Amino acid sequence: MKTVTSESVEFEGKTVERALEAARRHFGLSDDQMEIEILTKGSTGIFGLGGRKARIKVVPKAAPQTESKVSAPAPDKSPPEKKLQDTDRASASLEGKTPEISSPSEVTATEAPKHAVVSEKFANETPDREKVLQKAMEVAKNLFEKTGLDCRTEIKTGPEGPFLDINGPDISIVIGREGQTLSAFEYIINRITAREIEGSRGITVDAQGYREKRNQSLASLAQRMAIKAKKTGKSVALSPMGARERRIIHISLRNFSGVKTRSVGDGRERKVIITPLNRRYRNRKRTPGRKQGA
Amino acid sequence: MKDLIEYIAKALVDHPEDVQVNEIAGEQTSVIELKVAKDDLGKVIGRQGRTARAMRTILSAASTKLKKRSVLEILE
Repeated sequence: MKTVTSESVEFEGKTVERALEAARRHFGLSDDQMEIEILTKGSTGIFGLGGRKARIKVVPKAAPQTESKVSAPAPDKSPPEKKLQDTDRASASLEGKTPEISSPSEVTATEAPKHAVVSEKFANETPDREKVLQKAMEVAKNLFEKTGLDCRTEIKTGPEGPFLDINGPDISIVIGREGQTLSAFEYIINRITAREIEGSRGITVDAQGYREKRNQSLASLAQRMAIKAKKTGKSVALSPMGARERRIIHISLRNFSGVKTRSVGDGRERKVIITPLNRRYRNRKRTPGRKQGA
Repeated sequence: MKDLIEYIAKALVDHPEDVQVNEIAGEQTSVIELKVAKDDLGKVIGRQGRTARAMRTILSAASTKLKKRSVLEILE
């Protein structure tokens, strides 16, 4: 399905910038050495699911350009979400073994222009995802053995790709207060894995669906607090959260009319503030946040 | 507890042979001292102390199971 020796390659990512990044890595070229066409800009749906991805088409300038969009139909026209499941997992391993195939010198004019859809998630990844998963799993097992915690690790696949799932009698200790311990495990596992396999991307570590549940409760908290903010006309400050959790709040209130969200504070104290958009508060001076969004 | 910190530290540094871990056991609380090569110090601390914090979090989780407390000290 995916032929890497093609003139134009499509990349997708959460944002145009992410897709570009993938393209740069894929070809090993800088922006001005590639012809870039933005196909869709992409948007994030609720909870990061169901959002459209940004898609760009890239032709390395070394190769003669053909309007491949017209002359060659994309081999795969199913929606990107679905493609991610079937095509790319197979191609990710392909990529790990033959990274040099995509170097610009091999993109020759004699090749018929073909489309290849490379998901940003996997295009970034030179190492085999399967290998990274196995390594992460091994690290997790060693780690849990040394902690003396009674739990098992297994590889599972969710809507956002494969992840490590932890299960067992000591699961509540592994999760910790507000998932802090789970995050610490995730961080350490990824740090160690990244040292062994260069360029590996972060692997999500979940415990019995804890993250999913947490996301849902965060989203409902966000809704409740947004209603409160609107009703009282006063800003509501949520308790300090990590970037991942703040992101859930921002995203879940993106389409909630009448309020806006921003993050204020620094480091561990950074929190989301939900502000109602009514007349009473329109002239109030805002506390400057570090940046908009998460 | 000592093994745990030793495993994590050795996996994170460039000079695992220079990793030294001492456990000073107390009645309730034990102190774990971690010593690494000078240029590896940043690796066990991490940006904004994130790695050090993660190690401490994991350490306290492991101690909880034993109904004990442990403190991680990173020695220069």
